[in-house]
Parts: sequence; structure tokens; C-alpha cells
Amino acid sequence: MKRKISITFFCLLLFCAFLYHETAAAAEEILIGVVMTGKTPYYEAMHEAFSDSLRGRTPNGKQIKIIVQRPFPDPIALSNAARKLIAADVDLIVSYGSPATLAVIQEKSGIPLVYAGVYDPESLHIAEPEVTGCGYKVPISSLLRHLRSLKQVSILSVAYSSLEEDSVRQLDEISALAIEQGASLQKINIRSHKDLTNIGPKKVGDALFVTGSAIISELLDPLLLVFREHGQPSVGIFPDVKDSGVIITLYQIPKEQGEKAAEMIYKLMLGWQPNSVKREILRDTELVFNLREAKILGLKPQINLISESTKVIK
Amino acid sequence: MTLKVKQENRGFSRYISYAVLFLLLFIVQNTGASEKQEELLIGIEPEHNIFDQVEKYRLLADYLSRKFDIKIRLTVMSRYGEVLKRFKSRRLDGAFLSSYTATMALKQLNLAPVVSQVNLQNISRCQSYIFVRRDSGIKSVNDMKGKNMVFVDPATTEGYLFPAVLLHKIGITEMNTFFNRYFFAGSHASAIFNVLDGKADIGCAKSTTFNRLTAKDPSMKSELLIVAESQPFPETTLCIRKDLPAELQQKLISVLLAIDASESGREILSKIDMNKFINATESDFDSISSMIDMVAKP
Repeated sequence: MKRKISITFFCLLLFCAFLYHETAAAAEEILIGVVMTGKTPYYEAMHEAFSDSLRGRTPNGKQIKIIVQRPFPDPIALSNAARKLIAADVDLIVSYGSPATLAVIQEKSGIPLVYAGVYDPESLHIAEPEVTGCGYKVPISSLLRHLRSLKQVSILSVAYSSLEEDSVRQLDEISALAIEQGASLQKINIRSHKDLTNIGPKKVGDALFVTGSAIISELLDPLLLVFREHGQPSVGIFPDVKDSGVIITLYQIPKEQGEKAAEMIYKLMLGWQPNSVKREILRDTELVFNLREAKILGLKPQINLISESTKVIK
Repeated sequence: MTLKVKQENRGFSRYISYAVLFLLLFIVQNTGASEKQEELLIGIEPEHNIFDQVEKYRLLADYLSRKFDIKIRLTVMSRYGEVLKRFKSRRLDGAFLSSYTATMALKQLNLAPVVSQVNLQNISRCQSYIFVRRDSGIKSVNDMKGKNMVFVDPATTEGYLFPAVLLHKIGITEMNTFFNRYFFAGSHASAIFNVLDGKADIGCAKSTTFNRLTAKDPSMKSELLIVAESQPFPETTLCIRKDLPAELQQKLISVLLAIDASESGREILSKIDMNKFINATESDFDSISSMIDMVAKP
């Protein structure tokens, strides 16, 4: 009898130890939720660098699981994506771009948030203590200067999306610069494919400025086609990954933002408070000149543009 | 005994042969040196647009060739530091040199500074500017830690030496650890564009290039902030070999100093954005020499 009790007690102990082990193992997993607007190549490149960098930074004995949400960049879809991550009980959230970042902040979940790919984040005035991250700033004035070295621009068409905060702030910046430089602006608001059909000859100025927008990134080919048909060049602040024919691109290297976001997430995993991780603005840029496209449009670049370019597409 | 005398005689005639051979070599060498110089090869340090630069100096070379009975040829060195190597191999007779290379050339080679260029603003000297983008938040050297810096070339006073001395004076000798990254743009204009484009946070360049570009496009000036500037240094000086025939040296100096006195000379000068030439002396480079010594010392 005594022996029977001992065996039962021992089995019970074993079962408890097994249960404890399972609970402990579950606690070792860190769940990271990611929201990015659409399948934007710029944000995808950032996220790839983030994931690669984080792989080598996992704290000892912990496992990282990443859930990615790629909603269309309208406020409802973004809000739903943020709610899904909150419902999944993620430990940390990473957002790419202003629309995704603002959508997560609006949910007021209190979950630590690291943003990346936000244009000029200081102008968003994010006060929440659980938020940190790295944004970027591109000298738009410089991009306009390079464009002017290629072509006289009296009317500048600007493609932006009123659904995306980053894109709108870039439009404001371009407007101020255009006034300074005596050029007039043709604003082209793109919220869906339908808006492309509204671009008549009057909207096509002397050149097109493509702001950093998830929607425009997806519609870049048909948008550029309209301007090419009128022989007008385009410039942009997102890399022309699909080789759509943007003549000059001046962009912040997405890999750097992805790696910086990973560094910040790592600190949070080690127990840092988000407000003790300094928010950063990255300013390193790459200047890419598409000489092939310039030739097609009959534009002759000045030697400065070629010599200053980090990459020349021939 | 006879054998010993014969051996002594043979040794003596060998010495005579060596002496004759040495004399012949000496005569041949001196004949060569006193031969009439058929052409002058003048080097130019590269600027941002070397095509424009070559065209400008070609006009000057053609003018000088007409004034002399020898051909004056130009060669553009591939980069700033190359001038010393070229001189060492005796392929150049002279060169229009920026202050750093002129100082090094005076130190290491048998060269003499003869004339300095005076630009259209009647300035023969230029400063080094250290500048940042106005929106960068950088206002002093302390704010530069961990940022990206673009220099022009290690062989430039305005584009490397002055900032290096400035940092050295406050105890920063290891740029690798002070800056996140630093690199060389290759030209003064390129250093300016690198900062404007955001490829670097801090840049340095000579004042004449900075002022020319910002005067052409005032938007550049409103975007850049000069955070430090140096004393003036000679901008471009013609340095020539001291062993060139004295008559040729004198003629070259007098033709260049008088170039602005004639209509045809002024026409050439205006085409190459110059006002005149003025005399240059070795003491013009004393301050740069001290700066080079300061940075070179551990």
C-alpha cells in the first residue's frame, strides 16, 4: 500500500514537472506583430532587413514569432489589422510607414511599438511613451535641384495619396519649395486605380514628382505610362524596384531602417522601456539616375548628375 | 719585378679609363641639360568637371605657346595626390597646384612657387568651410560625433587638412571612432552635393567653390549652414622646377604677370574665370606646412 502511494506521488510530481516545463517553454516565446501598408517594396525591403537582423539577435532561451499584416492603406483596414494583432496578444508591434503607425497608436493598446519608414517622424508629434522607432528624411529640395538640372520645370505634377500621412506631408514640403522656386503645382491625388483615369493632359506638367506612398507604389507602372506618353520625366523618393522608369530617385536606404528597428526591438526584449530607446531619423541616401530612361525621353544630363549618382542605370 | 710593374701600369690605365668614361658621361649629361627645351609639360589638379577645366587651361596653354617658341602641353592628374609622383618621375615641368600639394611639392621636390591665380572677384586666396545641412541639428564639433563626414581628398588643405587640424586640436585623432563613417568625394563640388543630397551629414570644401555654387543656386545656401571656417590659403599656384633654364622661368613669370595688360590676354582670362596672376612666394605656404606637421605628429 505504502509502495502504491509512493508511486502515485512520484507520478504526480513528474506530471507537475512536465506541466511546469510546458508553461515555462510557452513563456519563452516572444510574439511580434508587424503592420505595413500593402505590399510596398520599400517597406518589404525594410521588413526583410528587420527579420534578418533580428534572427541574429534573439535573447538567450527565447523564441521569436512574427505575425505580419499587410492591409490596404485605408484607415478601416489599418485599424482592423492593428486590432487583430492586439487580439493575438502580441508582445511587441512593429509598423512601417505613418498610416500603419498612426493606426496602431490610435488603438491605445499600451503594447510597445517600434516604427520604421515614417517620413519626418518629428512632425507627427508622437507623445505616447510606449512608442519609439526610426524614421527617415530625404532632402526633397536636392531631388528637385537634380530634376531642374535635367529639365526646365515650370509646372510640377505631384502624385500623392490623401490616405497616407507621409505622402501628404511630402506634398506640403514640395508645395513650399515650388513657391520658393517660382514653379506651379499640379496635385494628383491617387486613392485607387480609378484616380489614374482622371489624369488628363492638363494634369501633366513638365515633370512628375512621385511621393512615398504605398498606393502609388502599386500603381506606379500605369501612372508613369501616362507621363511617358506626354514625354515627361518623373522623380521619386522610393527606390524604383520594379524598374518602372523613374528617372531620378533619391531615397533613404530601407535596409538601414530595418536594421535599426531590429536593434530597438532587441533592446525592448532585453527589458528596456520604449521611452528610454531614443527615436531616430536616418538621413543617409542613395541617388539613382536612370540614364536609359533619360535617353528615351531625349533628356541630356549634366555631368554633375552622373558623377553624383550612387548608381547610374544604363 | 717586371710583372709587378706591368700590373701597376695596368691598374693605372684602368683608373684613366674610368676617369675618361666619367668625363664623357658628365659632358653628355650636361650637353643634354643645356639643350633647348622643346616643350613644357604643365600639370593640372582635377576639379569637379575636368572637361571644362581642360578646356579652360587649354586656352591659357595656347596663349603661352604663342608667346614662347616652345609648345606648352597640359596634363590632368587623375587625383590630387598624384602630382608628387609625377614630379618625382620628372615628367612634369610645372603644375597649377592647390595649397596642400604646393606645400608638399615645395617640401619634397625642387620646385618654386612663381605665380598665383586671382579670380574674377579679385581673390587669390580661399578658405576651408565645414558645413552641414541646416535641418541636421549639428551646430558644433561636439554634435558631429557618430555622424557621416565627407572630405574632398586627403591631399587638400580646405577639403581635409583644416578639418583634421580642427579635430586634432580638441583631441580627436581617430576619425574612425569619432565619425560613424567618413569618405572622400574627390572634388569640392561633389562634397557639397553629398551633404545636400543627404549622403553625408557634414562636409568640407573650399570657399570659392561653395560661394560659386550657392551664388548660382541660392536654394543651396539656404539649405546649408557653415559651422567652421579657416584662415585664407593660396588657392591655385603655378609651381615650376627650379632646374628649368633661368631664362625660361623668368619669361614664363613675366608673361603671366603681364597677361592682364593686353586685350588678348584679358580675353583669355575672362574665358577662364580669372582676373590676373600675382607673384607667389614660399612663405605663402608656411602656415599649411605647420598644419601638415601638426597632423602628422602622433
